[in-house]
Amino acid sequence: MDKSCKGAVEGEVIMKDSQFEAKLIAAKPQDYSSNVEFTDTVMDSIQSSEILSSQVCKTSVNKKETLSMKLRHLPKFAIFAIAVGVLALLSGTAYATYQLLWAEPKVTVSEPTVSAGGRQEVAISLAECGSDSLASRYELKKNATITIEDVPNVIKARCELDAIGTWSQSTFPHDEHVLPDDVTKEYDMVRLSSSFATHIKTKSDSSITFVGLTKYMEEDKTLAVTPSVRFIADGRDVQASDVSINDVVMYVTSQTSHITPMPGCTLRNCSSSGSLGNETLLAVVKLSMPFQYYDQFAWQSLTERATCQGNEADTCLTGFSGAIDLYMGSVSMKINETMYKEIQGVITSISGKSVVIKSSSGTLFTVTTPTDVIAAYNTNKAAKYYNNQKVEVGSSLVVRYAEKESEHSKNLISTLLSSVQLQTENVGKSDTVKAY
Amino acid sequence: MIDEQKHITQILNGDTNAYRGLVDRYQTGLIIHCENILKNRHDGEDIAQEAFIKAYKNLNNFSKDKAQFSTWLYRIATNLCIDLLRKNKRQVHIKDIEERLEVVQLNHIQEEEIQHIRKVIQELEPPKYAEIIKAYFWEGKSYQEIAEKYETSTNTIGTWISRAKVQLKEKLS
Repeated sequence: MDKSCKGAVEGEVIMKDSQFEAKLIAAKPQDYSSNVEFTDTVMDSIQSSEILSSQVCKTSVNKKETLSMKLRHLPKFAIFAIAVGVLALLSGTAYATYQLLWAEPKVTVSEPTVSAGGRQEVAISLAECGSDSLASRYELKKNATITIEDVPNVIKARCELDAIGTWSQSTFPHDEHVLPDDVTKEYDMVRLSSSFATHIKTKSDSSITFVGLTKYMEEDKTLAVTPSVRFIADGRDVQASDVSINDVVMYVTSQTSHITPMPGCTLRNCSSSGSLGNETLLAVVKLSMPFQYYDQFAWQSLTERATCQGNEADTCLTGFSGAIDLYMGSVSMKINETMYKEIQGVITSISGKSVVIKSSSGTLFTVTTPTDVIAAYNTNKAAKYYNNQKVEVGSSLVVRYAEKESEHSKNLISTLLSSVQLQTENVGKSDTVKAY
Repeated sequence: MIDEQKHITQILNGDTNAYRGLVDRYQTGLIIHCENILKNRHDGEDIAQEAFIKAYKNLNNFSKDKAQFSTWLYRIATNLCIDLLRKNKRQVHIKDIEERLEVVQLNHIQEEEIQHIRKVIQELEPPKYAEIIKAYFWEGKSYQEIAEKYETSTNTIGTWISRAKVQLKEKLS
């Protein structure tokens, strides 16, 4: 019985069931014990010496990602590239020997400008990696490991890796995205995996060892070479001898998991255990540029800018890696009347409970909280938890608030505010918290 | 009922452990709320934990004059659920989720009604229906945990809870 799915289809059922369930929960007698383990977990987290904001905590670990994980983070242009790649493959398979397996991406970048936050930013347009209409803006982080001149190649590298990933997905059999009809029975699942860019360490007729990059917490990996392994360079199939030690490559593997459902598994809620088979090398792809452009840290040195929700004249950072909560409001939303909006800006003045921020378009917003949250944060939390990153003139804030779509208040009073956060930015997960 | 404001005052005065009372009080409802939005028990528990931590960190900013603590807590959790759904590229029907939140928040219940609900639960037939309703809605047990106790499948537990709710609705209407 899947009550949730039932409710999702029938909106009215959700309403009635939620209210009914809320009453049942409210009727809980005081003497009923709660889940102590859950409470302990919460209390342990609270009492730990350093509590970062949830977004900081969730900064991605730069360990090897499966392709499916990578795809989740793909920008629209890359999704377009996938479509182009699939179409190309479908239409040109018979001529694969003579045609590129994927098109070479072309990236055009505007002259750098300086953002409101004092960062260098560029507009990009892409060919063979998305539509020109999907051109976006990227900003270089303060602690970037690349320069603004590297940006075109970093984005091109991203397009190339995505194109190879797409090609591998459509070329080699796999079924990790498809659940069997009955998950309550044992089944096998073939998972396809694309590596990060790396180098070849050793190579023989029977095996290849790929360099494990310590900064990604990887170890060297040796895989067997079979006659079916494909070697690819410049987007074309080549001989194994055309790929050499020290070449910059990415490789594609598959691995079969045997999934065994745990007792009590149902279609709605199923725990299972999996045993992994050997990893099989499918393809070794020689990359077209130096390693530095494919480095994950190079990509993470960029932050995308997009139109702010509800404030279309401004741009907001959409990929920043963290923020520190200064204020959480209990704003009430009225369905169909109000919407959540967001504005980001640099603080130009602080006066007790009110702070003025300047957005990317130069518009001034006055943000007023019920109490002096900035003083409270600077006094009580900055040094204790956040590497003494204080909120001051020049700091950047992320402000979310609720307002009618048609209204465009520049005076964000406390009753409108949903949250006020200090914007931070990090390149790597192990970086200490740094204010934007 | 626990004295929420007293707990909050204690916490703000440095008695972190006083927060335990609020976590105990609201965890079951919050987990079920998140589970219903996310359609996944484990994610629901994770987000509920995150919401409690976030609420604690921002307790200075909570104003009892504007909302009950539970209302504020549910808002935080709901936003985290929406964030997670968006992060996982799942379709987000914010209107449905907001309506669900509104229903939960608007549900002000009198002591007299509480006593009646408890009595009706006790009268459920067969008695195991009462046990599983209490286990799920009062003790915060998951379908999986209840199924293990009764040595049956989670599907069966879902069916029993569904039947029990039908009985309860009839008797409470």
